Amino acid sequence: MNKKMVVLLVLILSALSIMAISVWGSLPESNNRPSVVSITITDFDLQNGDGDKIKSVKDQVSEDDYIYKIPFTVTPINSDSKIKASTNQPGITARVDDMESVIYVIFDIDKIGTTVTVTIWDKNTQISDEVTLMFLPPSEIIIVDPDIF
Amino acid sequence: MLRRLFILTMIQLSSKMKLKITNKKRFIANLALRFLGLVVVTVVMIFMLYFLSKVLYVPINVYFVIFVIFITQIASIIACTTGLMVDLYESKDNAILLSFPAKHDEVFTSKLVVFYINEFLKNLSFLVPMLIAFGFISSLPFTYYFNILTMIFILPLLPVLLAAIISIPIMYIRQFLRVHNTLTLILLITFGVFVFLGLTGLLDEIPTPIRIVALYNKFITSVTLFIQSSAKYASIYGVIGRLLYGVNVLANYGIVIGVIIVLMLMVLLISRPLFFKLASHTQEYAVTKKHRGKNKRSKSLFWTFFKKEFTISMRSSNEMISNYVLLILFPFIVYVLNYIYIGIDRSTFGTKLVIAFDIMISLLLVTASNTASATAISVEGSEFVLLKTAPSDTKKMAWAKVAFNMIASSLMILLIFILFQLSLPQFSDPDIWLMFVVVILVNSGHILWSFQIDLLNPKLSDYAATASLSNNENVSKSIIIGLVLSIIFGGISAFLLIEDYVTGWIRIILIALVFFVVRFYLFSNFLKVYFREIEF
Repeated sequence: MNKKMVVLLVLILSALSIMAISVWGSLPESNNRPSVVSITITDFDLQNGDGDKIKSVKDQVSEDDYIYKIPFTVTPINSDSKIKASTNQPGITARVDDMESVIYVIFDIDKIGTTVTVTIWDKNTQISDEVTLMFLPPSEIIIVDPDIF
Repeated sequence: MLRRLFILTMIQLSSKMKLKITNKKRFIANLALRFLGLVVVTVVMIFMLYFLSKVLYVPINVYFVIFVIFITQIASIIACTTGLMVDLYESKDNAILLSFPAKHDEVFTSKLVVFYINEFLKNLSFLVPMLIAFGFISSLPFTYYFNILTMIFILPLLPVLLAAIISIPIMYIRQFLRVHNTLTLILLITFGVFVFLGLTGLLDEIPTPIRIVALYNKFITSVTLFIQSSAKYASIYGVIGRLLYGVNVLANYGIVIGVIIVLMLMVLLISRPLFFKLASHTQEYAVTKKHRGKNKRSKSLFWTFFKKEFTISMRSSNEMISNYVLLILFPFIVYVLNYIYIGIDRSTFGTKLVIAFDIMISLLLVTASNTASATAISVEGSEFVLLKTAPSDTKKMAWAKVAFNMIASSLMILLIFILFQLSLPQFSDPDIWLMFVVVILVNSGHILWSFQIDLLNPKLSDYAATASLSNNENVSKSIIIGLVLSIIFGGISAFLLIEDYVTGWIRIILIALVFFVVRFYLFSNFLKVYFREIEF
C-alpha cells in the first residue's frame, strides 16, 4: 500500500460518493417541465421542398479538422428533453452536448468526403430533425425534389 | 568499441534483470507463461475496447489509436526523464562505470541502451497487446500488423531520445532548486494557486442544480471529444497513428525516420558532451554556511530535539513536501467534491451522507500523510545508536518528533479547513468546524499509532544501508491503518448523524476523543518499555 494507491482509492470513493448522494440523497426532480415542442437544426445551406436540410462541409471538414459542430435549438427552452443523435454512416459518429445544444460529428479518416445524414431526436416525444452533410460546394449541390413527379 | 559498449550494457542490465539461464526448462516455461500473459492482456484489451465502443459509444478509430499512443508515450517520456536523471547523472554506479577502461561516451550510450531495452520490454507488455486489440476490433488489414512490428522497435526509442535531451535542462533546474528551498516553496504555492483558479473556472462551467445524468452525458461527450481532438496535437505520434492505419505509409515512415535521426543528432551533440560534467558534479558542498555556529547550552532536552526536527524539515523541504503531498492535494479534492455535492439538489438525508463522505475522504488523505511518523525512528539510521549513548533521557526525542509531526500536520489541516470555509460559503460553518475537530483528533491518534509501529519495528539498518524509504513496510502498515480508520469513522458518522443529527455530532467527537486518548496512553506506555530496547 502506498500513496499512489491512496489517491486512486480517493478517486474511486469520490465517484462512488457522488453516485450514492445522487441516488439516495437527492430530491426527486420536478416533473413540471413541459414536453419538447420542436427541435431545429439551424445551420444549413439549402432545403428542398420536403424540408430536407443540406449543409456543405467541403471547406470545414478535413484530415486535420475532422470534428464538425452542428448547433440546434429545442423549444421550449426548459423542456424535459432527452436528446439523442445518430448518423446513417458507420465510421461517422454523432455525439450530443445538450447543455451547449451542439451535435459533434466525428469523421473517421477514411470517411472524410462521404455524404452523411445526421438525425437528432428527443427520446421522450420522438420529435426529430435532420441535416445532410455533403462535401460539395453549395453551388454544385443539386436538390432532388421528389414532389416534381 | 562495440564490445566495450556490449559489456557495459550487460553489466547494467544484469543488475536490473536476471540474464543467466540456469535452467532451460524453467526458462522455456517462463517464456510460455509470459506469452500466455500477453494473450490474456490482449483479450482483456479487446473486451475493454468493445465496452468503450458498444456501451459508451466512444469511436474506436485512428484518432483513438493516436490518443492512446500519445498518452502512453507522454507517460514514458516522464518516466524516462525522471529515470534518466537518476540513472545518467546521479546513479551510484557512475563512480564505478566511469572508472572502467572505457570512454565516457560509451558509458553514456550504454545507459541509453539499457533504458531503451527497459522501455522496449514495457511496451511489449502493454502497447503491443493494445495495438493488436485495436486491429482486431476495427478489422484492420494484414499491413496494420506488419506496421506494429516496426513500431515495436521505434516507439520505445522516441521517449528515450527525448528524455535524454529534456533531462539536461530539468537536471539544471533541479540542482538550482535544491539549494533554493524558499524559491521551491514559492513556485509550489504559485502552481497551487493557478491549479485552484483553473479548477474554479472549470467548476463554474457546470450548471447548478447538478443533474447527474446530464452531467454524465456531458462528461462522456467531453471525454470523447478530448480523445478525438487530441490527435491534432500529437505531432509525430499523429504521423505514427496514420502510418499504422495505412495512410501515406511511405511518406509517414520517412517523417518518423527523419525525426529519429534529428533526435539522435541532438543527443549526440547536446547531451553527450554534458553527461560527464553533470555526472561528476555533486551537491555535497552546494550549501555554504553564512552564519557562524555558536555552542549554546539548551535548558530543555525536548525543546532541543524539537528545534532539530524543525531545522531538518526546513533544510530538506523537498522531503517534507513528499511526506505531506496528499495534504497538498487535499484542498483541491475536497473543493471539487463538495462543489459537486452542494450542486446536487440534496435531501436532509443527502446532507448527512455528504458529511460522512467528507469525513471519510478527509481522513483517508490526512492519515496517508503520516508517513513521516511511521519512519520517524528508522530515518535516524546509524546515528540512532550514537543518540542513545547520550547521557540523558533520549525518549524525549520521540516526544519531540511526535509533537512536531502533530503540529505540522494540524496546522496544514487548519489551513485547509479555513480554505474550505472560504471557498464553499454554501457549506454550513458549524459542520465544517465539527468535521475539523474529528479529523484533528483521529489524525493525532493515527500519528501516535504510526510512530508506535516504527518504535516496535524500526528499520534502522535498512535505512543506513540504502538511505531510501521505498517499500518500507511500516509506511504500508500506517497507510492501511489509516484506510481502515477512515472507513470506520465514515461509517460511524453516517450511522450516528442519520440517527440523530445533534447527538450524532457529540457522539462522533466523543468516539474520536476516546480513540485519541487510548492511542496516547498506549503510545506512552510502549515508549517507556520499548524505546530502550531499540538496537541497530
